[in-house]
Amino acid sequence: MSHGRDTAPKPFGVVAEFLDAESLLEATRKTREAGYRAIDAFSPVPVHGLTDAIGFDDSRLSWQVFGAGLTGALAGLGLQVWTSTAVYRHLVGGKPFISLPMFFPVLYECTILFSAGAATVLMFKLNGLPKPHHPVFNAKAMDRASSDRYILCVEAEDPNYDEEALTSFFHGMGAESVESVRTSEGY
Amino acid sequence: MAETPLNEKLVEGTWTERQVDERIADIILDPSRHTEAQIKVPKFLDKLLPAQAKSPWTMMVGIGFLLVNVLLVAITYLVLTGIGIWGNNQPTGWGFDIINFVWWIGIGHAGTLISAILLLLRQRWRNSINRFAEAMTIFAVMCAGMYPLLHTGRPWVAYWLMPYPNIMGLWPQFRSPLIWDVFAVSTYFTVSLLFWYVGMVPDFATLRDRAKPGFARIAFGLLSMGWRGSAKHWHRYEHASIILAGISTPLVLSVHSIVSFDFAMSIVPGWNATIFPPYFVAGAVFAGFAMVILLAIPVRKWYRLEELITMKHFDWMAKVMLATGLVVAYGYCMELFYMWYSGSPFETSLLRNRVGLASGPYSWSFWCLILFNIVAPFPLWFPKVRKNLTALFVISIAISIGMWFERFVIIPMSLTRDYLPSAFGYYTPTFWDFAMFFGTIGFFVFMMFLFVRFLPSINMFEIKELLHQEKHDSDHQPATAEAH
Amino acid sequence: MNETTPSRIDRVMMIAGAIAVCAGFVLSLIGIPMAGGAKGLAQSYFFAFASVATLTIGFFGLTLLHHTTRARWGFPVLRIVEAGGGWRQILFVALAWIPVAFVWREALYPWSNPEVVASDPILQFKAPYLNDARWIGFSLFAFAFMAWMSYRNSLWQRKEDETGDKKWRDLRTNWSSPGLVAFFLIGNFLYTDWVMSQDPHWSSTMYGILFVVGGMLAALALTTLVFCSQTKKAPFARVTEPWLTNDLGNMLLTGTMIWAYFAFSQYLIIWSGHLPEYIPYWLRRSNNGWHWLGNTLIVTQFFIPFLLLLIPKVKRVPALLGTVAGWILLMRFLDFQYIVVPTYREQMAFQPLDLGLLMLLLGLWAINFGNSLGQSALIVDRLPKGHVQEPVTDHA
Repeated sequence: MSHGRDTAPKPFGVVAEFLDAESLLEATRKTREAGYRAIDAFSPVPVHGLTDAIGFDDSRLSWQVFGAGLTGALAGLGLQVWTSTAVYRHLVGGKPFISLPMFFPVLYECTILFSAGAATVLMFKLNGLPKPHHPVFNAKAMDRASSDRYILCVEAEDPNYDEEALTSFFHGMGAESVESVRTSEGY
Repeated sequence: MAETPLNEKLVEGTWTERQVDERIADIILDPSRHTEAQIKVPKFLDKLLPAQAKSPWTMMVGIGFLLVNVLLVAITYLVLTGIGIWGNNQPTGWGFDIINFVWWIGIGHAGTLISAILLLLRQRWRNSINRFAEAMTIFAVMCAGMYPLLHTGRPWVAYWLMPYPNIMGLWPQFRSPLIWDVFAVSTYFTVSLLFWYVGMVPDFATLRDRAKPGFARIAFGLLSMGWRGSAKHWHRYEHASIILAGISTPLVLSVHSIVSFDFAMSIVPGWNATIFPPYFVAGAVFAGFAMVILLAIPVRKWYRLEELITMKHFDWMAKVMLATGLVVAYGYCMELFYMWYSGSPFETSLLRNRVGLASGPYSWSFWCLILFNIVAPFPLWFPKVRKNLTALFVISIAISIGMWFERFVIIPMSLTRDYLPSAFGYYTPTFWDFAMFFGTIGFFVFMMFLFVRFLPSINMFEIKELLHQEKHDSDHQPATAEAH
Repeated sequence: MNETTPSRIDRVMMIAGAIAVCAGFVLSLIGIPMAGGAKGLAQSYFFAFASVATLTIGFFGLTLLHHTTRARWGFPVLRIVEAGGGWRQILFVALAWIPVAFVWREALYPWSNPEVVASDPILQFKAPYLNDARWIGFSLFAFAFMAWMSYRNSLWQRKEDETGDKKWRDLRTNWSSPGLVAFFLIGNFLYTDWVMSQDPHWSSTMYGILFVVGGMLAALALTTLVFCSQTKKAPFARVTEPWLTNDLGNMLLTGTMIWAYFAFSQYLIIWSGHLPEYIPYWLRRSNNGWHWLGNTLIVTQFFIPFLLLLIPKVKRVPALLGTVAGWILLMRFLDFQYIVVPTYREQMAFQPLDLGLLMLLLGLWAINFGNSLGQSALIVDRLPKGHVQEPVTDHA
């Protein structure tokens, strides 16, 4: 505790609560128009258009999963070709050692296994999950963010961040409640 | 592929998002939901039993638990003695074990179909039954997986099936469909589990936030991985869901095709038919939808989910059953016709065995199959039947039995009458075959009701999404708009 | 939108058809001396007939599929599909079938030759099915069924357009769903009769359905090609939207995958079983040059369209989608060559007569197709509401 560092909670952001998805979408668009960039929104359901409204796009997942699938296909094919030509070379049913039609099913399953595993793991990894606690959970409004509340947050790292201005800005857009959230994370 | 009806609501009544959570999440969080519905018992028992014991949940889990114990005894005896306790013997190397394996894995396929294919086809009616059907997939594949593992006779060395460097220098023989099966079934189980879990993560967050502080909150908190519903997370989440659905669709086709290759790759008469892969897949979906209906009808009633699982859902499921049932019927016709058309003496004699009541020892099972799989589902052509739950329940039972007979017809009938008359035989299942079979049914029921008790059995966030979409539709279209 | 020129696709089809007929005629004249006599002529003609018939039957199947499911993507292209599988086309195929049935039957079908049957016990066993009267009768029945179904459907479609009464629509659905079941059965037996029985000792339960599905894929490819070439012209411009090309692209993708799945399963099962009854089919097709065609088709017919159709952009830009559809159609004809022709030609070789007669028949078919297209408006009047309003949810 006595590291001589400032360990007092720092501001994390300003959180506004809305009652439905349309208001959230509207408010998010206006917030972005007002010049804020470090925006995040939280909703119980995926809201279409929200990622565009906060100016976020990420399509890395497709390519990474495609790569994983290709790896799986090569691994499956490689395993079969290697075992049936080099280490376990047996003649079965008069079929050639490299029986590509018969190698196809395992190749296919390996492709799918690798892609599905990658899609799941990478989705969580890119999302920074698992992360049991996140500063935004300090907001009271987040208690219902997984049920029926739509939350907008402008984070403190935004260059234009100003708690008071944001609070009145959010109130002006009809937010149900507005909170300033503090965090002790990062020490 | 069918047009999504825009005007008929898939969620009946008016709901707030909070009410959706209450109805679904409280099945888990509020134990009193399980005693709401009561089962009628004889009068003398009525006073003896507490209300808890008369709830359908307790009854189903109780029955399931009893049968799980039967299963455990059967497995223990099997492992201690060997598979000689089953009816399998020369020439019938595959008996109940493989019949049940195929039956169970087929049942599982409806789950993947509902969650993956219908997601790709943008069929909104899947939303309230997908979670349930996915759970069914997981448990059905578990039941299926037990059979080949135990059939190896030494399940403790089942890992020999996997490719790994070993001191014996042995590797799997990749030109055998049985090895393809190992890969297909294990991939299928893994991917289904991932899909199921990923689908539940946002609901776990809802449960975490609704649960009172205590064990449930901690457990759901861990399971939810700290999901907070950020728009960025949803973006990648939806992306991953579509990718998972996109790869599960060909997966489900490949799994049952590979199961059908177990038969079709061999040269046994009646097995070596090129129509097998698509016809097995259709049969699997057919049986799977029957099982979804069998489970959905009581659960919907006991947990007051009528407004979420509507008659529209049953109508759709019945249509899918009808369509897949017709594909299966087509498969039977093709099999029979080309057995004759081939002109091969082995095929034509099998045809006689199958159809002729006097000439084949198992031809009765073939006619049972026709009765249960073709005649019984016929009324599904009529919309009235598709909207009658009693009729649907009865037809679904018939289909489940019929699809079991299908595998019975394929396996012992061909094995006991293949090429050499000197190798003909007869197959009789033993007590332990039946014990295993009913044991796995019990295991399945037991797991399904534990699932209903402890995990969200309807996808909450997708139901909410559906509410949004239906609201959107009704805002943008006059209620009278006609879809053509 | 106001300035769009009206589509003259019916004219285009007729002119293209006329050119194809002329070119095909010349090519056939050149090809006849190389064809190897009357038998060679019969075989080349049969290849052309089978290709055109499969395309038409595929179109007919698509109309039934549409009336059964009433899928959204079907409405804007319904007229094209109806023109391809309408009763006029079916009668055309029936006419084209007459030489096969009455002039060249004995040359094409060993079981139709009494001398061959006399020395072949298996053919004697099959005689209750493989005989002239039943064979001709069944084809006639199939033509009558298809012509009757499509005539009734187009009649009811017209009545609905005139009166706006929903009952005609429901009537179509109620007849087309059992019709679809009958269609698959009839289609299977047609191909058993027409193609499979040319090699009368061989059989496969997948064969008929593979042809039917292949035909439907070809028909869908041609539909997409026609549609995509006209998206800038009225009235197609009005309905051209990203979701539609996306759906058409996805249907082509699905069709390609189903076709590949069926074809691969059939190959794998026969190849691994290696039974003397069944393997000759593949032995013919994997030797003497035919394996080159077969291996090429794996890449060109499956992998190329499959990978292209996975790319979202291809399904958004009509020109790209049309190109892919045209490619698929072309590959379908090459595949017919690979399936049909090795039965009577040991060695793979390019036969100008095959191409000439195919162009001749396809040209006539296209003239008829253009004529049918010109008979009514190019898209159905009553598109389902919500057709344009529905937001695009591109999941691909």
